[in-house]
Amino acid sequence: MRARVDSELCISCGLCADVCPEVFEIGDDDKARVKVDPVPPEAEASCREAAEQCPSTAIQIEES
Amino acid sequence: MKRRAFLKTGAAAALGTLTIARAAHAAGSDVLRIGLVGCGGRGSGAAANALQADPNSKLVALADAFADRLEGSLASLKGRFGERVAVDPQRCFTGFDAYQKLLAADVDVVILATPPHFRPIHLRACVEAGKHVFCEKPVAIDAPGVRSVLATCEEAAKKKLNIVSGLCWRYDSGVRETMQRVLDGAIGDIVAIQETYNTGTLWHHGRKPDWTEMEYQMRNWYYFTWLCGDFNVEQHVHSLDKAAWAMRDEPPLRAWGLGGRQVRSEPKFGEIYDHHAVVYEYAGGVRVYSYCRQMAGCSSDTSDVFLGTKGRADILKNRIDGPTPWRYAGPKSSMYDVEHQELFAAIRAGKVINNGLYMARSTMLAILGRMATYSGQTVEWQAAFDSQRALAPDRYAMDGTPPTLPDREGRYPVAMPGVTKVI
Repeated sequence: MRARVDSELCISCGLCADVCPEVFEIGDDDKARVKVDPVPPEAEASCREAAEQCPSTAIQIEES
Repeated sequence: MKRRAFLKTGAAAALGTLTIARAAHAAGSDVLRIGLVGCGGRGSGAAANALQADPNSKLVALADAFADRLEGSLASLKGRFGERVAVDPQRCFTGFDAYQKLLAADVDVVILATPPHFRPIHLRACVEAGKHVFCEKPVAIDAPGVRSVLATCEEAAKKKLNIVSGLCWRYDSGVRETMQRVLDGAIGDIVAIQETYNTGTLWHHGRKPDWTEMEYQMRNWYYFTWLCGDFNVEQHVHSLDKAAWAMRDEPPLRAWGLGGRQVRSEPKFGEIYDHHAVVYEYAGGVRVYSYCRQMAGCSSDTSDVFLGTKGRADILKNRIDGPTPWRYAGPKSSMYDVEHQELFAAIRAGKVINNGLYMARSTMLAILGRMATYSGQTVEWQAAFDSQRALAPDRYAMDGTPPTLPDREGRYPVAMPGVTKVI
């Protein structure tokens, strides 16, 4: 699984980093970013949850 | 007297205000026991925020309509927080009445994160049971629910119980400072506000043959107005709350708007719209222009632009432009954590946070917008607020009858402007 954040859509709310800190972090520009690629198997469920919860639908998931 | 006895409102209220403050101070280092009602993504996230916020808290009870959701949440939280998730099987409750069992399971703080239809019922039960509450947004889906929440929050104030709202931007450091500057006159008098929440599409959990209609709607709650409020209530309430904040939480006079479901037309998407555009008219001539859309392949934008007589503010960007430009450069922290940090700090200090008024009014603002787009009419605030129209099933059971049902082709009735009555 791979995750991608569209920084144009990201509203810097930090929810993804809360829900799935294994995959997402907040960068210096205050935007969310993916810190590990591909997504570790043990973090896939929470990564999907983060994408589902993202209030600006800025996270795309690519299932492998 | 043991700390737990003090935290139980009935006893504390009987002892009076001074006593509860002292009791809370005395209890400052004791373990606070958290119960989570609604184990979806936001509920699980809020439980994590709570555990991160207060190192001497434990998650001790879970409640959800569905066992699989509860078990998934428990496994995830257990993996992150280990022994601080001390939820034994006797404190895992499922079904529509799970919240009642959780409230009887010796908890101090309750996180309410089910679909918003249930919030007024759950919040009232929490306050009656003397619990401090973290209350996710929105707090209702209809006017009777809003009035119930307001009454409950008045009771909470009398009982010195904390009610912290999940309208999270009010806990964001940059937004707080930007908004304070606006309220202090940095852009002069507000003339107009543009609120935009245009995004892509969301999840859908499908339908299984063994599900009842009620279970299908519960699992796909986002697409049913009686459960979700429509997305302009469930999601766009964040934007409307910022407008309300700038208007000092005074309600508008009326609203009118346009809306529909142009792309979200498949039966599986229930009855909610995919776009709303609403104009809120305030006393003094101020207008709030409110747009939200959930469509794939369209431009997206989430922003709050405030236009004043002396400048403009872009709230989410934490910037003010005009004669005295300003940018927020202070510290950043997760607003989701801050909500809980302030809640737990208040409990431990014997202080009280009660976000009841604004969380109810902002929810009503969103419901008013839905009333305007569904009906195609200009809807007065007071008429909307006084509405007796309640959206609810015949009973809360998986074999109960939801308030909306599909036709033979699986299509649900959709609100039709000019025809649909909302008051």
